[in-house]
Amino acid sequence: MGILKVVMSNLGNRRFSSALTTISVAIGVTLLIAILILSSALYQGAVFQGGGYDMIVGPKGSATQLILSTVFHYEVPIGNIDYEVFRKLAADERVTKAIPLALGDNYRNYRIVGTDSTYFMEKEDENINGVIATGRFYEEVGEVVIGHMVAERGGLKIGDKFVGAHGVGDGIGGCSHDHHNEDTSATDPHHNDTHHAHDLEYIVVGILEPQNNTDDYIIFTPVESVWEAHDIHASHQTYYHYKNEGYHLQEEHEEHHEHHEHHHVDKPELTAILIQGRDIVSLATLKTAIEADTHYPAQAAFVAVVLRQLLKVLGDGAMVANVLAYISIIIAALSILISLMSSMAERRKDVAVMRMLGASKNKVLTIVILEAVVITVIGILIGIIGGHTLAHWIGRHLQHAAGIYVNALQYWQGEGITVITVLMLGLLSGLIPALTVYRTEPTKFIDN
Amino acid sequence: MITLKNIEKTYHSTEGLLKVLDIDFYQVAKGDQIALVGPSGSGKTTLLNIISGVVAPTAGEVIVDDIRVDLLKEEEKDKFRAEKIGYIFQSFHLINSLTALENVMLPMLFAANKDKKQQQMVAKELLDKVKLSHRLNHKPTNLSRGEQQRVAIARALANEANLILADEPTGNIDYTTGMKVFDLLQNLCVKNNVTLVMVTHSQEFKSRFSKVVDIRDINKAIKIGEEATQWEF
Repeated sequence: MGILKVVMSNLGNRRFSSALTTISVAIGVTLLIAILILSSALYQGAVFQGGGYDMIVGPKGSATQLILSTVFHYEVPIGNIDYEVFRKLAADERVTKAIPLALGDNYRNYRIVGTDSTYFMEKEDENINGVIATGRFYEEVGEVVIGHMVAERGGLKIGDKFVGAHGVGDGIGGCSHDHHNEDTSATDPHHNDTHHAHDLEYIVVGILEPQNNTDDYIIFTPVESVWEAHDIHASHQTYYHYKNEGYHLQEEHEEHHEHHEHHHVDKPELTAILIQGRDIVSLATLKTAIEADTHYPAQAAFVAVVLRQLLKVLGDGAMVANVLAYISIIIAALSILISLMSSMAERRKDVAVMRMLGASKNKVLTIVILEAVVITVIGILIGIIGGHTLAHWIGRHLQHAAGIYVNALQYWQGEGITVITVLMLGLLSGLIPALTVYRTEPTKFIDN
Repeated sequence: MITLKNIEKTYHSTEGLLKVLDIDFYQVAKGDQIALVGPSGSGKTTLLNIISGVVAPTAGEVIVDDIRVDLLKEEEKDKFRAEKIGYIFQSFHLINSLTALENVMLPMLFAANKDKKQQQMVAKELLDKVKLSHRLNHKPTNLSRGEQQRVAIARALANEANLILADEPTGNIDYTTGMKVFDLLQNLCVKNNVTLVMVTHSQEFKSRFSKVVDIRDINKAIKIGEEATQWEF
């Protein structure tokens, strides 16, 4: 028989209070681990999502709203900017990549985002079909490539046709309406006719590989599709076109006018432009230039700056949650202490007997501390499983609501520290009663 | 086996120093079976505790099996008790969370001189000797008082102790069971050449011992008719 057998027998003898204290530890650890995973995943997701871009150019207004609506596809866009802004930026030497985004419509609450292939490509010569799981990338106006969650939950498949509705939707999609063409309660930044369906019929030509971000909930189409849907008839060239061919704004524009058969009812506009810059100095001067342009009014928001502000808010929230979780752990540690102390009367007699039988003071000290440690370790193990399960469950909702992917099945940095902290608290809660029995004079507690 | 020289034990009280034990010289030979008798409060239990090293004498020498118990350090006393002494209490004092088998294995765990298999084997043999091989996995609360005291006897013999100190081991069990338990204890001590010092009030048991020692005859601190009753340590 080993010491652990004595420890387990003691715990078994008080199985109800042992179970309760174990559960209280498990709940505390569950909360700590879940908060840790979710806050880390949100942080990582936010950085990952906005990581590729240095700057977002959009209409004047809230920089946070601009970033949220374009990078995270969350919140309604501020409005639109003139397409000329994109043409100028695409040709600017300080810019290494410019990606146009045109928002405004949705299908069953899944945002329809007009952009070009550069959105998905790291390099100019990259094969765009690398991001396509099924089908092909869009080539024509009206063709769409859908995020894999749109395919999975939105019920769309290759060859399906649908008509978009005004407004960007109220989130990351997921409306459960059964009928195609049905509009949702979306808000359009410039039309406000939230129940009007367009005439342009979209056709699904491809489904994206899972991106584990908000793109999984987006319907992508050429910028021209969005214009077409809003009766703006123009053509768009990718960033690489301007980079390779040079910038001939007026001529090209006029040339395009001549070749276009449609009647212009409005100027082509974009919701935002995602920018990668040459260096920080170039970007700083670019920002100043953009915001000083009165002819094409726009703002330029640094992604990192806005993200830092967002993450600070996120961090503050996580900190509050963490404090609450730690309070629950301290309560759990106190419950271990109370449980052990309440069994002291009986324990002191047992300890006295053990001392009479030759148990050293260190051995009885070890037995009591181990009881607290065993409760804590079992609580921690249950808590780790519980925390990951809870984070996985919340993560699924989070992914659906905000498109932020939470991989709850992996080890997250900080879990080790959390476990050690809780273990130390458990150890501490066992130390006080252990020291009490350590000082037990055997003869005082043996009544013959 | 046991030699006590100039043993004194005093306690501080509100009335000043109180001497509860004062023994000039007393010796017990190996294999002896001694009945220690005397009224309550006359220092019988204190004497047992001093012999086992649980209580340190204020003065004097305690020698057990050639070991100066009073000079041992705390950890050495623990080891000494675990290896040399078997203790039997009036109230059995088994550990309720452990089975009969585990209770007998407990002193072996503290002595740390046998592996788990050996502990189990010895414990089973001892429980068989006290006729409890059918109660190995019973917790003390599921055993009768007589059975509990038989487990306590097996526990006292677990480390092949040379000396068993029994403090009224039959005091909490009925006469018939008490006699059976006593016979068992005495026989096992004889068979294993174990020295037995047993505190008892029973005339019946006294008559079964070859040596009966009245504590008042050796303890000068107690005068007949003035026995202390509140200083049992």
